[in-house]
Amino acid sequence: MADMIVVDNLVEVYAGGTKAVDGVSFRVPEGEFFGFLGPNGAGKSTTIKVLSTLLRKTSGAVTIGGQDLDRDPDGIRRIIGVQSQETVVDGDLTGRKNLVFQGHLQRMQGPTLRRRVDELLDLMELRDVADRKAKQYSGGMKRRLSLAAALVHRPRLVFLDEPTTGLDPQSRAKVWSYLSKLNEQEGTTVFLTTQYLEEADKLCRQLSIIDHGKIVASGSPADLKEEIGGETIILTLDPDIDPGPRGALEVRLRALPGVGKVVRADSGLVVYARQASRLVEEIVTLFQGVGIHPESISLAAPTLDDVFLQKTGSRIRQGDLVSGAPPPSVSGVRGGAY
Amino acid sequence: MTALQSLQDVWYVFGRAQSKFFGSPVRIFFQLFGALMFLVLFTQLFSKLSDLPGFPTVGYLEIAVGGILFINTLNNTMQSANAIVDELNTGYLANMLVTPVRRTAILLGRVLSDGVRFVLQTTVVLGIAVLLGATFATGVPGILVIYLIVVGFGVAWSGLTLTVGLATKSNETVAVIGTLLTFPLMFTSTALLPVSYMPAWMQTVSEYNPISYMANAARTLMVSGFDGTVLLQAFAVIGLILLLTWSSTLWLFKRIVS
Repeated sequence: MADMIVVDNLVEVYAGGTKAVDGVSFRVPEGEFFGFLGPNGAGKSTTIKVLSTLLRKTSGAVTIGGQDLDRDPDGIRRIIGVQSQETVVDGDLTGRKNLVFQGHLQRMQGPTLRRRVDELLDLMELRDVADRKAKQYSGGMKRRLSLAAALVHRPRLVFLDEPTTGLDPQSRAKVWSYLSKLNEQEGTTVFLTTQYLEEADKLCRQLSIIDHGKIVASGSPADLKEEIGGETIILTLDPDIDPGPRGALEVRLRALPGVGKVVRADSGLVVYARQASRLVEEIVTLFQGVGIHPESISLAAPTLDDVFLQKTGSRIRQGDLVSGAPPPSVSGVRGGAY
Repeated sequence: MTALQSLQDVWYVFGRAQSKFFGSPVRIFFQLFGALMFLVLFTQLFSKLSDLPGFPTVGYLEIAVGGILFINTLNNTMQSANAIVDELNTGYLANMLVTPVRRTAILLGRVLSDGVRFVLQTTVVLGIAVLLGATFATGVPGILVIYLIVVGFGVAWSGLTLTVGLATKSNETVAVIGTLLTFPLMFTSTALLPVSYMPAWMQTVSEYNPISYMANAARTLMVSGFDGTVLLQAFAVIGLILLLTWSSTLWLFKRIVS
């Protein structure tokens, strides 16, 4: 399928000299559900601002829907919908009028617009409050209204900047189901940014992990996890143990068959390996050899957080995976609660 | 096609601003109350003034109405600036900028909506003045010219508060500068008193005060008749302010939106 977004070596340097986006390149085919995963300040919002014609890029080339960003920004504005990270609704207007005005800005009018607005109010479950002023809405309702506003003109491409940040789990699940439907049933290309690993894992078919303005990994969530090894072994260690034996342990772990990488985490070590379950016994022997007792050894399928940890050397959110790992037992469940 | 499109965009932005205003009874009330307040306070406070020797043969009401129209206008020109600064800071402006809407329509639609409010408050002031017994020497044509001057001056002066707002992105600054300007302009102009009742230095200041030209024009239309020179001066002042404030506003706005 044709590419909806083509970004080639995009650079965005802010007035103060900060490089918010540092040579990013990627392609998003039409109909894709594409995600940008990264921590706060990684350059996700800046990328969206450039692609949605809000911010002038410093350098690089961008084509959206076959239209060049520099030459035809208006052409791009007609085919995109944008939900910004800050929830932006006009509190003085009713939910319905918010959507009608948004439609007007996209040159829609008359019965076509009215029908579309009704449809979106139904879809977002805002029908009952449609004629109330938006300032009376709850945070989740405002968020849904701003999502509806981005969709009024049936854009071929939507940019969603952290669409579920600040939502309760129930609202988040609702938004997820709207977005899946939008992508699968209407064929809308979705470009989403998130700092939630679970969200990226669940929604995105293709993913780029971005950190400090650079893409550090790209692929489908499954591929990315596969790439770092089939499984992870999480070793929780007493932080006070001597660096000597600890170093020796790391060296011997790396030498085990099938071990891809050994990464230091906050509360111990994470070992990435194929068929990790077969290594547990050997690892226990290793510990005895160097004279250290692990606080726990647990086994988990890798998560996107592991991908992130491997690619950037830090976790997206500090410590959840290891500290939240199951008690010392050999279990096959996915570790880590996000 | 594109000209039509631009007009349509202005119309939509105007429509939104109107819905916001007319959807809020509190705002309407304060708008009209504000317009009335000055009329009532000043004409009551100074009602005995017309007894003074040498005062024009008409009552103080006729003298004051022309000035009060513009004091109200000064007080209301901050609204466009406040709205745009809010939209800039909340991200609503960005929300509009990712659509194909014409950039200048975002400003013009808003200012046009202020124009409606200027007309509204002028109607209230003139209406009450008539109820209180004021007469209009130039009749309906003169009243229409008064509307034109009020709206023209209002739009021109909005450019000043918009410039402050777009340059500072702060509504506090808009309010401080707006208020700081309003009072000196009001009291050093001929808005509330005929020029002969002012001390010499204020007479000099009032000659450079745009409000004097506005008030004189409206007052002349009310009490004596069409005076070409006075009207020409008023429109020249409006044109000059319009040119200065709107070229800076448009320059700042283009810098922000591109």
